[in-house]
Amino acid sequence: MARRPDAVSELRRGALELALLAFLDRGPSFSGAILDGLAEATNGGMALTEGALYPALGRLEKNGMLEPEWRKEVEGRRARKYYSLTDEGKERLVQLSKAWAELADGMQKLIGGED
Amino acid sequence: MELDAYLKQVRKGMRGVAKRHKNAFVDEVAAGAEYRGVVPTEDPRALGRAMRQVHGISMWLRMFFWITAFPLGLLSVPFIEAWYPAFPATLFLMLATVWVLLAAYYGGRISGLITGISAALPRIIGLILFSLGLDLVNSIFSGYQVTGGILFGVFLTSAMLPLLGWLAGGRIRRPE
Repeated sequence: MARRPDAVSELRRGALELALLAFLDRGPSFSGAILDGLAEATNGGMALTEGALYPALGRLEKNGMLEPEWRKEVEGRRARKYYSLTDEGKERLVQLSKAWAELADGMQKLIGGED
Repeated sequence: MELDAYLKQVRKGMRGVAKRHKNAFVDEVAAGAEYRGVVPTEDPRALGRAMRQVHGISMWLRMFFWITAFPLGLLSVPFIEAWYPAFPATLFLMLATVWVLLAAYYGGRISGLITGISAALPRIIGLILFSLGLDLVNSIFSGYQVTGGILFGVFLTSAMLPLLGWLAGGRIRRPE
């Protein structure tokens, strides 16, 4: 039987698309750098595994949010697949950021007991 | 695990995916591992399967499912038993059902639906032909009486195939 993911994992999963779009809005990047950079930028809050990252990147690319580009930067090293936001990806980022802000604001009020 | 062995397992997990997607992904994982200096800890086959969910199976494999379903459906037409009483049409119906489920599992909703239609088509054609000439059939093959109930059963099982493909294809849990 498949193990049910815990609530924290579920929260991360829900924020994954937004996190990736927001990270790539800073500039094009590739999988290895995204894994390290995202964990660092979120103080470990979005420390991903390859199993979560690659399918998420694949889906975003397939849905036209990301534009891939293979770059061979260093001779003797493997080419890296850089992802950058498309116009559609930028629009989606704006939408998700707005929804996130509203959600976070509401939840903060709820958790903090504000009226 | 060594990187090469890891990538080999990823490829196995991506069985059925178009080669260009498979090669591109393996190159991406290899470049990521090279940058980070470690082989991913994720189960490689599970990673490959997750990517298969993203890309789906290749068009060739989809077509293979669609085309093969037709003869399976044809051999499952129960009226063949009018000519060959010992013919295992029910076995072929079961095989066709499994085939549709496989197509749905690997190819998703649309693939399951089309494979189901491909398997149902010869059954429906057989059904129409025998419905039109029911009296003639029953008079020729006295040992094999086709009743309205049998025809309805054939119609139901035939309609079930595309429906099953569609529903089963939608049940695949997409990776998060």
